[in-house]
Amino acid sequence: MTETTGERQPAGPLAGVRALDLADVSAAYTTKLLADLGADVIRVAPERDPLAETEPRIGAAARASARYWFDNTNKRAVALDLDTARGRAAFETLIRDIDVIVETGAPGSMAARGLGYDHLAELRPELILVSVTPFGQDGPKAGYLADDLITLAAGGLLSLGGYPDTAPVAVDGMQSTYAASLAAATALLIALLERQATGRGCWIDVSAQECIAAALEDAIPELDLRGTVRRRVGDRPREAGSGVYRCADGYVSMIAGRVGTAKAWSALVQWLNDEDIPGAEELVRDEWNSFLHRQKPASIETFGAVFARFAGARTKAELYRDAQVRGIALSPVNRMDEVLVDPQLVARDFFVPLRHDELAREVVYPGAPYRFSRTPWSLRSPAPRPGQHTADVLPDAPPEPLPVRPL
Amino acid sequence: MTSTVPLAGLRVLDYCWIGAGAFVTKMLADHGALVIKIESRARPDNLRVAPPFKPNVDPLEASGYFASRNSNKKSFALNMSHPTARLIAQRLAAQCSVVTSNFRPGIMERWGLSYDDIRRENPSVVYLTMPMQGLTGPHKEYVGFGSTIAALSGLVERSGLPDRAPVGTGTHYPDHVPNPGHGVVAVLAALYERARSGKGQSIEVAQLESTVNVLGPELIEAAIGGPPFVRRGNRVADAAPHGVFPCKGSDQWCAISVRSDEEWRSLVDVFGVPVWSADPVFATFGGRKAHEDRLEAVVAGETRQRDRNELMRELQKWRVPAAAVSTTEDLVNDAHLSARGYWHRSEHAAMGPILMNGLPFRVVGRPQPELRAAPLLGEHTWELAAELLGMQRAEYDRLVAEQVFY
Repeated sequence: MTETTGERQPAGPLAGVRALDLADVSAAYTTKLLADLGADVIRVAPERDPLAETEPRIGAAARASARYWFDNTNKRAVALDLDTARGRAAFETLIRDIDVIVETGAPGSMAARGLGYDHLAELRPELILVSVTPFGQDGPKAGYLADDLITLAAGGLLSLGGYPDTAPVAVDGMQSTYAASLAAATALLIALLERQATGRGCWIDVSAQECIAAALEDAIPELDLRGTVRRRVGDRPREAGSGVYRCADGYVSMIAGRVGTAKAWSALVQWLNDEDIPGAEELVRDEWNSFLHRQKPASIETFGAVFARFAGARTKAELYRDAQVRGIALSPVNRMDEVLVDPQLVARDFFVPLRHDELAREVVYPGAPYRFSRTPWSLRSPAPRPGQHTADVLPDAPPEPLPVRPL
Repeated sequence: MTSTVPLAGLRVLDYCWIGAGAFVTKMLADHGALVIKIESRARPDNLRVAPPFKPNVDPLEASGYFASRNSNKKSFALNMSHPTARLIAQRLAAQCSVVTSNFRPGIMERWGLSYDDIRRENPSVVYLTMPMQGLTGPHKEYVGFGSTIAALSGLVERSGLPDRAPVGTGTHYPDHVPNPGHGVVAVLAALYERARSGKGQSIEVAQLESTVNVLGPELIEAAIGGPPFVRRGNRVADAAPHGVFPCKGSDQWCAISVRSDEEWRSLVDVFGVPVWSADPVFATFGGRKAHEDRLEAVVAGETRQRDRNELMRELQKWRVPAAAVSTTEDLVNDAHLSARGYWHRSEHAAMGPILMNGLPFRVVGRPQPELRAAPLLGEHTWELAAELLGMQRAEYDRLVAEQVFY
């Protein structure tokens, strides 16, 4: 596998920052953020890296993990078993010029190996240690086990997802891992900025449960000010004109009646009347201009029937184009394969092909989540094989010989 | 080492309204930055008029949603439709390290607050914009909300039951996680670089592009040409049972996730080794996955007889990942979150005490930063005009009278 596939680019804003990634799937995205912004990130994991076996698996016999590929772009990889004395000794050598470590062990597990923050800070006072766990480092649930679903349940987002007549349904795509990783990256960047002034590192405790609890929209003030517990509403719109609606070839998502968008509601009603949709004339009546009226179950029903007659004969793409001309916030409910050909993303050269030598082909990756004018985000190399850079990174302190894995 | 204001001294001119952008600058303010929120009663931030409201409070000061996103900020009332206001905004921008906005393309330009305008006076400014779909491209003018961006990104289509309409998160998710998250990471990274190079730059966070990144593995899977995805509720490929199961009481649920055979045996033990557990199809992961409908039915038969919190505690005791599905009420009363000091009561000048989420991370051994409640509209105009612009009281009064400070 080649180290660099793209042309030489200006360095990212975090060039010079050195980080170790000890994280499992719950926070490996933290150091992807750093690596794609130019930091030198070394993934430290056992030779058989569990992250390399996480879903979604792809390719013949599911040998590769798309999540491993995505989370580990631009990183190097060292195979190190921190449960052996030699592994720990190599690790202590490794951290002497490291700025940031991101780890996801159970509370106390780093200390149990003799690698707790106090010890690491003695070796490297500038070190910023970031510990991401489902429930944080202390408190009665600190040792609880969790995966994405459990974290979403414990953090409250699951209570808002799914249909009122079934069990709550979690959002797809391991979203709690992004919530935790983005918070972890925020915390460590603040610590890096502070370190520029003080020269000192710190230990950061990130709770994934708390990250999810911070993502509940208006539900906490709703409880606090009105005493109302917000619950899942599913596929039923909360208001006429706002929600997911069926059309000829799938679904569209629309917000045409939120506070401050009264113009969009009028435009929608005008559109339905311009197209002579039966029942649309009823929507012109004045009471429909009030969101209180539009939130009544009967109004939601009436509007839904009219809109179904209209949308049922039109495709997602037609509705998207024509709604936007009228200033109505309507979008197609895209499948991933449709996202790949979205005209806006394509026109902005969002997608980045990355050469995978082991497959003798290019693979398309999501492009930059942010565009910097001077120090750009970049994808320079695909995820390393677990342990690919052990000899480069630790030439003087090789860990015990590793068995060769059959291909 | 004891500072709780690591960003003290950082000045931010903040034109982020509504949800996603306001969260970015809240993070900066909560860590000690001086965030100057520019707003006006001539055209209030939509979030100020978004429910839920505290009853019997001035309608522009009564939104709990606004308060939840604007802690620790200072409010500067400036009516941008007035030409004088634009000159004042430009003078403020010249004194800030960061300028943020999330308007549609063209608005900041119209006010003389484009990146090029500001950097002429202030070359090291970090300038963040958060347009829906970007500043360029055929859809740059397209309107959207968090939920429609989630739909465009693929998130909504993937979430829900296979035989029902897709549902997403039930929230405007991109406004709460990917977009504020990427926005604040970008600003902090640019500030880190600026401290070394002395140079600023502009950053564009297109909300669609940011949101597609939290579906990275799924996008790669689609790009490489995998089988078409079918919505699957709470099921995943590598665990079974993996779902949300009914418990005693009305609308009470417990999420349970079993990957290993060891976890499976513990689950069966917690259930008291019921007769059905002897069925050999359940002995292996492959068997459990192949008979998932039946598996979920027998597990639900057991969980229905249990209290969700007792079930969670018992399963966790035996090392099975499980959690009661928490509502907001459960969270606010959660002994674990209380023990960690997660919830805060802040004193709001118009609403009185309000409940605030704490920060989801903390520096071990340091107190949490203070969460001062969101400002009243224009609360800090005089203070900041005097301090940053050297304004005299007479001029301030005149600008108030002319509804420039409004």
